[in-house]
Amino acid sequence: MGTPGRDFNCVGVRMPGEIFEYMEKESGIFGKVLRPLIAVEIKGETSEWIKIENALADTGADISILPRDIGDLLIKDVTEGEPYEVKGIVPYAKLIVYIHQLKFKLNGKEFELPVAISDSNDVPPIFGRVKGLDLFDANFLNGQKVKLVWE
Amino acid sequence: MVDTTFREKMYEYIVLADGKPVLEGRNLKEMWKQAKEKYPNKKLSIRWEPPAGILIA
Repeated sequence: MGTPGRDFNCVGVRMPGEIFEYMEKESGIFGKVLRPLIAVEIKGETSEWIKIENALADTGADISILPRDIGDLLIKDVTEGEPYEVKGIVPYAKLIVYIHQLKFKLNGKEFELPVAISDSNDVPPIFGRVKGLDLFDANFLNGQKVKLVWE
Repeated sequence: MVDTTFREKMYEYIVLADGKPVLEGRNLKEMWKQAKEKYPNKKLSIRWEPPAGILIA
C-alpha cells in the first residue's frame, strides 16, 4: 500500500514528494516479488475522482493504461476514444485500446494525460511515461520504494 | 517445473471503503454501484488484482 510522505530533493530544497512502498505479490517462479504500485486518482467525464490503489509505475510503458471496467466508470462510451493497438513484450500479442484524455491527481498535483483504455480487463492499471511519470523525478529505491517528486 | 495452473485464473477487482476491502469480484460496475449505496460517506477506491503466481513483463 502506498505510504504518502514528504521528502527532500538531492540539493536540499524542500520539494513535495510522495513515497510508495513496493507491494508484495506471488511470482509463481521465485516466490514473492515486490512491485512498484502507486495510488492515483483519476477523473473522467463526471466530476467524480476515482482512486486506483495499485497502478503499476512502469518506466517501460510509453502510455498509461487502464482496464476496461475502470474505463467504463470514468467514460460513458469508451469506444468513442481514438482506437489504437498497443504492444508489450509478448510476441504477436496486441491489445486494442481507446485513447482518452483523463485528469490524474498524484502527490497533490492535477495533470491531464492520454490514457489507453483497454478493451480487456485482464490488463493491470499502468502509470506510464508520457505526460505521466515523465512529469516527476521518479526514483525506484533498492526494490523497496518508489519516490515521486513533482518537477 | 513451472506451475501453469494460474492460466486458468484471472484478474479480479477489489473495492475498498476508507481503505478496507468491502467487495471483490469481476463485475466492477455493479460492485461500485453497491459500494456507493452501502458506504455513501466513505472514500471508495479500487484495486485490480492479478491472479497469484503471474509475472508481469
